[in-house]
Amino acid sequence: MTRVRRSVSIVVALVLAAGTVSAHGAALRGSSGSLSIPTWLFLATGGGVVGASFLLATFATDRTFVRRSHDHARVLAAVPRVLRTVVAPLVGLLGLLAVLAFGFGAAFDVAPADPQQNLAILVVWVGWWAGYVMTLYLVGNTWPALNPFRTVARTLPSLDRGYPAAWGAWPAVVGLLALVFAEVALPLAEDAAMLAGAITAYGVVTVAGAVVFGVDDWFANADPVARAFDHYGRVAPFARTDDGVVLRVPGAGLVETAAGTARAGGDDGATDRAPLADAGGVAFVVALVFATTYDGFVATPAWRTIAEAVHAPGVPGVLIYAVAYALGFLAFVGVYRWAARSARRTGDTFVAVDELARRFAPPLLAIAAGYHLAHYLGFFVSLSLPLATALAAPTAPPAPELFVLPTFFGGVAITAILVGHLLAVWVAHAIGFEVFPERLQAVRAQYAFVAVMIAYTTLSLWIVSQPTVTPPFL
Amino acid sequence: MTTPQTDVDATDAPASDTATAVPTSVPADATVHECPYCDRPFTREDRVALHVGLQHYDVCTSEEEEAFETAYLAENAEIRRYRLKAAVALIVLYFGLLMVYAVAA
Ligand SMILES: [Zn+2]
Repeated sequence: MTRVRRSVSIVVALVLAAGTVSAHGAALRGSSGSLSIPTWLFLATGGGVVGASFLLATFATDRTFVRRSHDHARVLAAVPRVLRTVVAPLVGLLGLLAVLAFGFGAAFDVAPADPQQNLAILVVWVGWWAGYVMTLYLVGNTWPALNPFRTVARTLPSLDRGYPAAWGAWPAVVGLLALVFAEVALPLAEDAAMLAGAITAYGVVTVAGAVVFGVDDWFANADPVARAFDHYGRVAPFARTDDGVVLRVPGAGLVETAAGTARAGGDDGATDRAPLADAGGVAFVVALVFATTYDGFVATPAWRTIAEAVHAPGVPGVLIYAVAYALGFLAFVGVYRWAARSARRTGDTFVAVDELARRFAPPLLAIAAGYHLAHYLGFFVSLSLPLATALAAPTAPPAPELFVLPTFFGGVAITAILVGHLLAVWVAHAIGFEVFPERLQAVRAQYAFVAVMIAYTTLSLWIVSQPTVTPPFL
Repeated sequence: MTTPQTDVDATDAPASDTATAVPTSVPADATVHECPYCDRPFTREDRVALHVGLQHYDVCTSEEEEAFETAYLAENAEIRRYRLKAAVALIVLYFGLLMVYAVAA
């Protein structure tokens, strides 16, 4: 009755709020990317929507309602075994072989070298990194079955040294930071042979790690790609469990992850592992959010201005990028740490700061997913035509044609960022209710996290509202 | 944090459910109210009552059940006051932005 009405009105209000801002966004980015309202007002509105959604969420104080919003899951049929153990691994292996063949082939003039015609570049960046990653958080994590390096490692004899527990997620944090920096600093999206070389290097390290420490342990803990994709999969409505495929409310997987009760979707033998059990796991989530932000930030005119100013007295370009990268990551970690410490204070609780940091990290994954969608949906759609033609005629594709994006696409990007944040606000609310016995305590503990989310919305909306320029000195 | 802290490892506590085992750290000079079932420390007595009612409902005594209900109702009164403030903040935010739009856009 009133409870249902209240919850419906909260949802309607959230959707209306998101719709209003994205309508503004679409209008203001409609004509050749020029703003019809001042940027600061557009950013303030975005931050205001996230703040308002937090205030609205505080009206949902019925424990049964909040719990039901994430406790409800339906078990569907199991994934056919042949699909999981034969078809998917074969598709993954075939994809990897094609990427390596066309990547190295470009160096010997047997494959097209033009980035918009080269199969390796199109499959990796358009098909895999943009398109496939979207399916991870919109549908579910299929990477454990598809991952070609896992397939290769499983055919090799294992040394089974036992993964050192103290390492936790730290190898994955280092690996993710290294991969993203390589992606920014090297021309991996232009030079097909270099891309194939980088994939080979990653593959050798990955397969070696899996052979030494065991396939399941390596991919569940240390491999940055598998870990990132597992995290994205937790945002998704579908998850593979021991009982079959489960359909759940978007974000429910994140609440489960926070409680440490989540079962990893699809990792055979690596189930029931709490993915955010240590500080490294939290640092990995922060790194995931930071990496996408950095990737977008270095393509803004503001960064060009800063980098050129620092470059003028003779500082090498790569050093500027590396220092900004390290400082940026430390700043993100520091801000998140501050939020966790604040939560302990405003929530008036004895729960340890590390535990608060761990519990409230999963909502960041919804933000990371929203930001990825905002960043890559337009890229994926406009380059899907070259990808399709390259797949149809890999050795001699016709001259590339791009889809021209309709003007409402700017609005889609802004909506994706806001929806990610609104989901994060709701998930954080539900997590607060799980951690704290008193409901207002749960609300007050979120103040700093919401402040950080508002700041981050503003930052990401600013990045997507900027014209994209080629990062200098690379 | 400058206050000296003693770490209480919640995994040592006889938790009735792993999901309720929450690592805590208690400042040395703090007043602590502990859960009689899982030893989790709380800053206030009413929060222990709420926690017992929420996490140990199946094993708790009828007095604890009553204490839970009292604490839960007291919570509702405070939540009503908080909602009023949240509603005011929402209205200020909404009309504030509206006015800024009227002026700037
Ligand atoms: Zn207890």
